[in-house]
Amino acid sequence: MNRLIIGRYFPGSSLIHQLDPRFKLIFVLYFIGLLFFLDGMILQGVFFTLTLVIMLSTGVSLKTYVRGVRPLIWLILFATVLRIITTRGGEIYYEAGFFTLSEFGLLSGAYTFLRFVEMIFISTVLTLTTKPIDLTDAIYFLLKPLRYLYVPVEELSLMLSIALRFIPNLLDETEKVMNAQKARGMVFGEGNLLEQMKALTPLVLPLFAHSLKRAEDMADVLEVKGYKSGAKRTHYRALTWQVKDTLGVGLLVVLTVVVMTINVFG
Amino acid sequence: MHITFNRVSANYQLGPIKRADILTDLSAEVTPGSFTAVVGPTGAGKSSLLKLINGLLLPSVGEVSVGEVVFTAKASKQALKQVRKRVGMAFQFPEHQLFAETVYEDLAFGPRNFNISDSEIDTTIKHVCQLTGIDQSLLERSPFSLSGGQQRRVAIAGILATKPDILVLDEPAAGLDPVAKKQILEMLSHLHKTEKLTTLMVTHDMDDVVHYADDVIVMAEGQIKAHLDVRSLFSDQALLERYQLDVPTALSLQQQLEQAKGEQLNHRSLTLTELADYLIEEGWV
Repeated sequence: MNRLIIGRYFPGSSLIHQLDPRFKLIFVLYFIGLLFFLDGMILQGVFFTLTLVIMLSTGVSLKTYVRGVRPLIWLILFATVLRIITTRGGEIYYEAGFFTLSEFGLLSGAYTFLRFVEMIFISTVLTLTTKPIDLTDAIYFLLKPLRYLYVPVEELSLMLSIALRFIPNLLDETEKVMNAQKARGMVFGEGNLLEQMKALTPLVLPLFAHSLKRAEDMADVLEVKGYKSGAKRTHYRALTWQVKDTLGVGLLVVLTVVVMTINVFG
Repeated sequence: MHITFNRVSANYQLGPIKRADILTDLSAEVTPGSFTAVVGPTGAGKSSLLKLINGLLLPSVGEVSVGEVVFTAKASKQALKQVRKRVGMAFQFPEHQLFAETVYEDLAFGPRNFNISDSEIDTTIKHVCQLTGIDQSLLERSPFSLSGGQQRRVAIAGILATKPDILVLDEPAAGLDPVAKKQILEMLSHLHKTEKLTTLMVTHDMDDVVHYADDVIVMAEGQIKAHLDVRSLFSDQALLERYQLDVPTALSLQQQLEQAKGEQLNHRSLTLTELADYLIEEGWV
């Protein structure tokens, strides 16, 4: 639980920390999109270097990022291996029925691996340098146009910020309940998968019961304090778009042009 | 069973973030069959001290021994299981641990974890229900349908169902109404006497200390500042003031009377009966 790096905020004052969360969110989504259009070693190299530069400029140690990749390493390796053995082309080093080990296969396997790692790194940058509450505001801002399609954007963003707000509480409670059940002789992480899943009941059920109760209380409080859905409201935290953010957009445009040019003429 | 802390320090190390020690250089001894109250301001490390006793928190330095089992920075699963069977631990708001479909199932959860046979569990549950005052008709109900006070009883019964020799309680009566609070504490005190349970209880209520405890551990800033019997604690005004400890209602009343009268009684009273006796004895009333 404590090893999970994605979703954690590391306070700091780096350039990346100071950027507008709306820009950061767009940047990350766009960057991940671009990763799928990379063709050739040069572009791969450029994007990997760029990712590293961005990561280092946050002032968070590289070790922290690498730890963020660790929980997903099996998934990544699975995709990579699948890619390697199913791609044919170039020089073939080994072949056995369905399984091939080829020059192209190895190369595209490496690309797949890199793409995954970069995706995780760049989204970790976003969550490490942006307060969850700012991120919610950014999501709200980006979803705003959907209001014209009668999507309850206000409610969605309230739900999201409440959910984020209670994650630390939920973690605390998990620890407490876990300790209480351990004290009653429960051993977590023993036995086969089915047994382990069954063993979660004494942990998950109390958490559910308590969360439901708190949700009810929370709804009552919102009502008592006069919260009305659909009402027009202003914002306490205002996001400010700065020159840096515009420059960042410029970087995105340049990247797009480079990727497209190389894809078309390369 | 004997509990000893031998120069114990401990912290909650979370991954890479090294925290300062929560407990530093503790040494103490709890004699078998005693009722010890643990008092001190919030954040003093009281709950952490309790967690050391059943290995939910392991010492980073020093050792904790419970009976013949000794914990150091590393503890085997075997030792942990052995100790947890013998130490019953009630956290703050223990009703948050209830999860089973029926009260019976919840009570059987602990003993089942310790591989006790079903027939034996059945007799134990009947026994703990009697001890804790849970009516047999409640056994088939869902624990979530009970009142707060009843849930607390069920939770404590679930802890007793493993037949511990040591009972560790973290504010067992917090958040209950005065009647339920008194019932729970009386029940625990009764258990302590009849079942000869060595009991440690964290509390903020000095009247509880006077009524139930034999001796007191005073904690502050992660250290044990004093370990003494109840009467010595409340005779030591300097100690009480240094750690901002309250005094029992009777003593507080006595101090107000003394201040108003400008004289002092010869004894310090801990209960209202004592206060009444001293007042009559020394001719104040």
